[in-house]
Amino acid sequence: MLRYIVKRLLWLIPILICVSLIIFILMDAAPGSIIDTMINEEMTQEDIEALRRQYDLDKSVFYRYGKYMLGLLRGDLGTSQISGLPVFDLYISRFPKTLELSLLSLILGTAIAIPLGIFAAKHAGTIWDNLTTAFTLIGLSMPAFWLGLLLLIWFANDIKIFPAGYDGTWKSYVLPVIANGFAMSASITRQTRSAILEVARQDYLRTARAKGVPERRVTIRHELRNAWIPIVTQIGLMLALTMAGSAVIEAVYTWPGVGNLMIEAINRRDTTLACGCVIMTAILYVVMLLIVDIIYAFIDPRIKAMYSAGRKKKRGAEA
Amino acid sequence: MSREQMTAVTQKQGQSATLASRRYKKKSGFVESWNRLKTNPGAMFGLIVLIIMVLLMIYSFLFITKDDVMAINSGNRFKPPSAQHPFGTDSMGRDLFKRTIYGTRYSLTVGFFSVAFGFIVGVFFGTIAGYFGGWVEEIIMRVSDVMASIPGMLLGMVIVAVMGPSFLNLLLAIGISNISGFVRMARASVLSVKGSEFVEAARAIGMSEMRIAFSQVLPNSLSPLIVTATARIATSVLAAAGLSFIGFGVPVPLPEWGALISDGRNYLSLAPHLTLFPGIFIMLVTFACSLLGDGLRDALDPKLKQ
Amino acid sequence: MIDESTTNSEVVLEVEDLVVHYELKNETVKAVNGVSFSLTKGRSIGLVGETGAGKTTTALAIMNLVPKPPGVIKSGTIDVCGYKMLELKPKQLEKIRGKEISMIFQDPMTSLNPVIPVGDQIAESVRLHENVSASQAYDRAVEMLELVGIPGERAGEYPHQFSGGMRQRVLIAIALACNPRILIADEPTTALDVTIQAQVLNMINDLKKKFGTALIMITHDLGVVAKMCDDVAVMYAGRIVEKGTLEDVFNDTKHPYTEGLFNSLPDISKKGTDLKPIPGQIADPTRLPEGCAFAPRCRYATDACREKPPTIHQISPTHFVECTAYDDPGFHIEGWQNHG
Repeated sequence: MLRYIVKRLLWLIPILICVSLIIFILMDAAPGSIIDTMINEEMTQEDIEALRRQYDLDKSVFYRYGKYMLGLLRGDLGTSQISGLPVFDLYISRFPKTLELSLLSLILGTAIAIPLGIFAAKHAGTIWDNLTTAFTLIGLSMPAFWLGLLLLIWFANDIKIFPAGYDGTWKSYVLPVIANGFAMSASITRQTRSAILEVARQDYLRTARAKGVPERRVTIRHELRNAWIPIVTQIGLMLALTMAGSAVIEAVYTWPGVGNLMIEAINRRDTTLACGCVIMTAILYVVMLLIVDIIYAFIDPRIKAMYSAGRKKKRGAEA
Repeated sequence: MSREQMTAVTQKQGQSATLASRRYKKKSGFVESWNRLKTNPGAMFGLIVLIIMVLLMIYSFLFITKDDVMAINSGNRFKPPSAQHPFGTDSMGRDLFKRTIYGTRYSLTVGFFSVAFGFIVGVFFGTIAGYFGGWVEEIIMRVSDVMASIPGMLLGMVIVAVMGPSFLNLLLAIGISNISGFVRMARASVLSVKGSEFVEAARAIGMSEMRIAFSQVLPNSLSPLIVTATARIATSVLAAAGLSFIGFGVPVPLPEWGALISDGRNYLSLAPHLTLFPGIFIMLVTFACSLLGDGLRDALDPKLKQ
Repeated sequence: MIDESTTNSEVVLEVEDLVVHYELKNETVKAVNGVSFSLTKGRSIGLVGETGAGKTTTALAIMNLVPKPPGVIKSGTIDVCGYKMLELKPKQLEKIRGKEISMIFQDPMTSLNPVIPVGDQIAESVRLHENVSASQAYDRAVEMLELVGIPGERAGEYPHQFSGGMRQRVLIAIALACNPRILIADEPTTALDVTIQAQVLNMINDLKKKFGTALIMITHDLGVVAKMCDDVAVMYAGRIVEKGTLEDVFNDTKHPYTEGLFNSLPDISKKGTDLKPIPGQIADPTRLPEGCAFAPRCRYATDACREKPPTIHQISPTHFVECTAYDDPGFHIEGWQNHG
């Protein structure tokens, strides 16, 4: 098992390098460069050259990338051009808000989804099951940001119970968490339902009953113990996706998280900040996916064995 | 011929016969699947909705001009829905109904082509990876992993940040983010089918490996790929809307549904209809795709049905 | 039918007039239509027949494990060591299953819980039925593994780490862990390689002798029956058409269907002759005829056979056959040609 973790961690490094390299090159290749705003008419050609050298623009993009990544390891991602603050610090300071939002949405979503999924599975084929399926499909089809706006219309504008954006109180969490959590709950419900139905028809349940295992224990120790594997994996994936894509919901609620930071940075052409945000988010996403994979291998002995044997593959369902 | 030789020959002939009958069965399998699909009310509803959307798109090409959609009419701002303007008007006095119908072309094209792009590229490389194995497989899967490590929204933001908002960039970004899923699926499908007898039979009659990969192995793995593709259309439309909403999708004046919702964002209490109608359309399209996708999954492989 | 082979020894299983139907949306599958037999301690009976004859349903009914929506037990009594299986409540049944009577199923690849080590799956059975500590139960599990020929150290491994044959052996270990009086084996070797089949069957035989377990061997393979069973019951369309000891059924075959089964065995010494399958198709359990279900395929069938349910004839104290043709005292089948 340890071998597997170490192996995945080792693979993590080249993947992170590739991902961050791609992002860096893209942003570096954008028209214009960092010194454009610094040049003014009074500068001579020499001054401009000196400036170029100062920002390593005379060296290759890989050199700049290398320096950048080394900086990352020290916690230095450069300085935001607009605010003058260090990028890394800005990102870290905004990160908790995004994390809170994502975690709370996930908790809400899971709390709704799992009982609902179990319910739908136990009543498979009946009208209740169909209603649940319709409900989950609506949840999956509804853009989270649209739901967010609708909630704003109803609860923040018409009936003013909740604030329209972040204002420091717990009340301001309610609407965004609901908006985000709803969409998440839809996909987790579907996964729960199908996992339980899939397990319910397995032969080993029949073996357990033939052994005289009481029905309750069959459900918990044999059915759920198998069914929860894809469910947990799905929950982990949802968390990773929500965190990486939080920009949209943060835009709706002017939420002070990293998503909004990214949007602002890009809109204001603060390349250093933008690049820093994107790379950090990408790294976060990759690390979270790895954690999901490790948890998956941990709870499913078949996967554990497959990876210990040397080959890679088979993540859970993709969103 | 000795008994052994006779057995060997008849066995191979039998396998080729199986091969031929399998090809034949595929055609009638298509008809059977369609019949099964017809009985699924949800899937039919989805299909009809999508057809209506396509018809609306065609209508927009024929009858709605760019002018209708872009012309500013200050006297007409924020009118609520009425007979003259079924969806009301927006902050620039433009008719929302026309703008929304016009918007079908963006969402439908993005949805369809980004998935088609991801499908073609992804399935091609996934099939090669699964079929040929070895270092080819390693390289393809590693690249696919790197692509999978960049979430779609993020990629969209980066591409737009660098190259500016444009419809093509949006399509490219979402298309690229669709690739890795198909690579993985195609490879898995191929791996499970690779050892089958009809592949051996094809080899025995001298088919080239490449041809076997694409003409024998692939058609049999097609069903789950089609189902995934349909589901992906839904997620791609949502992604495009989301990106346009935050300004990283289509360029500003274009009436993509996400962008329309973004327009309405500042006037929530004044003109809620601006937010309402485009969102309903997004929901309809994604809902229809999901229903159709579910229906296809049940129709193409009935033994999966619970 | 009073079966004299059982009057002198302890009867562990008594099945009487069992009728089990599966009631589906559009049709009813009449899987078992009046099956009666009994089993004495330590003896083994083979339930033979083609797929769909009702063998598995009979076995499931004995454990009262027939899936209850579609399945309905229309009538009959089942007595396992004195327990009336069809009348007991679930809690009572749970105590009997695994302890007095056990079952192993056809497909070993899917019959084990993939996320629990095999040792624990065996120990689970022990803990349920015997008053021992967890570690004692585990020790017993290791013992059972050794008994079925798997090194005890492997008790912590997961099912996917074992081959099909080994998994079936684990299932046998689970079934026999609490020393049940009866073991039902439903086609235990059908899904295994030919070479492994013999191993597994030998093992079942050895364990059966060692523990004195009565065995119900369900199979479509007459060779398996010959190897394993003391008594034979031939099933067709949910009824037992011929029943007797091994010698009765093999050497003094009476029922045309049994004759057909023997005739359809390929004989390697008769190269060049055609195979002789039983003509026609197996009876459709959703559309059984009024008279004998085998009549449409039977070369000896008379009108009487087709009109009324077949008569039961007792050939000897141990040998019974359900066949109207024997109403005529002079009737006899030709006998199967592959003697010897």
